Amino acid sequence: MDKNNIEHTNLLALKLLSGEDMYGYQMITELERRSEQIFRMKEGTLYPILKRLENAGAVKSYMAEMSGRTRKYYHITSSGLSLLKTEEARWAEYARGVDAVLGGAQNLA
Amino acid sequence: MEKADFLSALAVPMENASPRELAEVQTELGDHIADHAADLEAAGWSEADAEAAAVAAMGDPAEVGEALNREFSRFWGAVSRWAAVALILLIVAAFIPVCYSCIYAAQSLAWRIDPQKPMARYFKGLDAVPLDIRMDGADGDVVRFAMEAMTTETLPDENGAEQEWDVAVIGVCIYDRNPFRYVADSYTAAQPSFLTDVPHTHGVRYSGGGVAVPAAAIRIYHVPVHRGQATVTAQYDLFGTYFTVEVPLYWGDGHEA
Repeated sequence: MDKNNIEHTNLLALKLLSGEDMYGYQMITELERRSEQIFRMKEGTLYPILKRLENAGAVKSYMAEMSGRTRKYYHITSSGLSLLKTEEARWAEYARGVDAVLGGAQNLA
Repeated sequence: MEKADFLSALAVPMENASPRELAEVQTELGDHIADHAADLEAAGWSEADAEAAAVAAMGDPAEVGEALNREFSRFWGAVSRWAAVALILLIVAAFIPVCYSCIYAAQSLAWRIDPQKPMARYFKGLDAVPLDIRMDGADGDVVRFAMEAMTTETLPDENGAEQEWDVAVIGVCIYDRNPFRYVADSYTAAQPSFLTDVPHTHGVRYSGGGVAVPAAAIRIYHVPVHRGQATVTAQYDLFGTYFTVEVPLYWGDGHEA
């Protein structure tokens, strides 16, 4: 379960970056906004995930100035987009499995 | 916990990160906390509460630091540190000859501007007068007779008995016109010699000087002379360049005999 959690966090991070380049705090706020406040992670834990994705070549980071402040932005690479597709497919499969179990349980009820 | 405490605690487990990598992480997470606190302040929070809440939202700094540390390679961390040390050593090694050249050139320039200065310690207690006799030596050298003092020294006569003799102490400075070039040949060959006909002494001796830097040299000559002698002859012969020069002797009160 832990493994899935980690991979799903990768999935969320990659999905956020597939739309636009973002910096860490922007990703956290965007994640909360899109999930309607359901996803609230310890914000510091995002950075080891981003670093791991960067080490894997899935994202690249660069410094850019926006509104007078220099921030570290993350950009998804083509390799990251491929990984995102794989993760999305795995998530869909996982969700189908969960749905099937829940649907089965509802049928039983 | 304040932001600074969080960032310090974050650094503790991050031993695999280089100082530069650690600084980058601290800057990034510090900016994150600042952004979050600014949003909370905009929502009406006090500055202190906003920072405390933003720090709390980051989670346990030790856990975040450990997780980050796993993403930095211990091997590459060590390699990068050693590579940085090796690079610094290489740069220093590459600059040593340049630094020496600059130091030599600076010393050579200083000596040609004020040749009496490096000689002064050899003239302590003597009534020295400055000279400024410049001769062209071999291979771009300048032979400069720069300082003189008359004194008496106790030297053995032909029977080995100690006698007082009049002696001219003369300081000579040699340098290349180009401060980045060395004095021609060895400094001893590049020095002039003094002629003396005073008998029964140990001849001309040297009290000090020599090569302080390759681009300039000084030597202090002790030349036995006859009381009242007007000049002493210096002779130079190197690489086909030959000259003699009469160096005037100043017998007391800075006046020539």
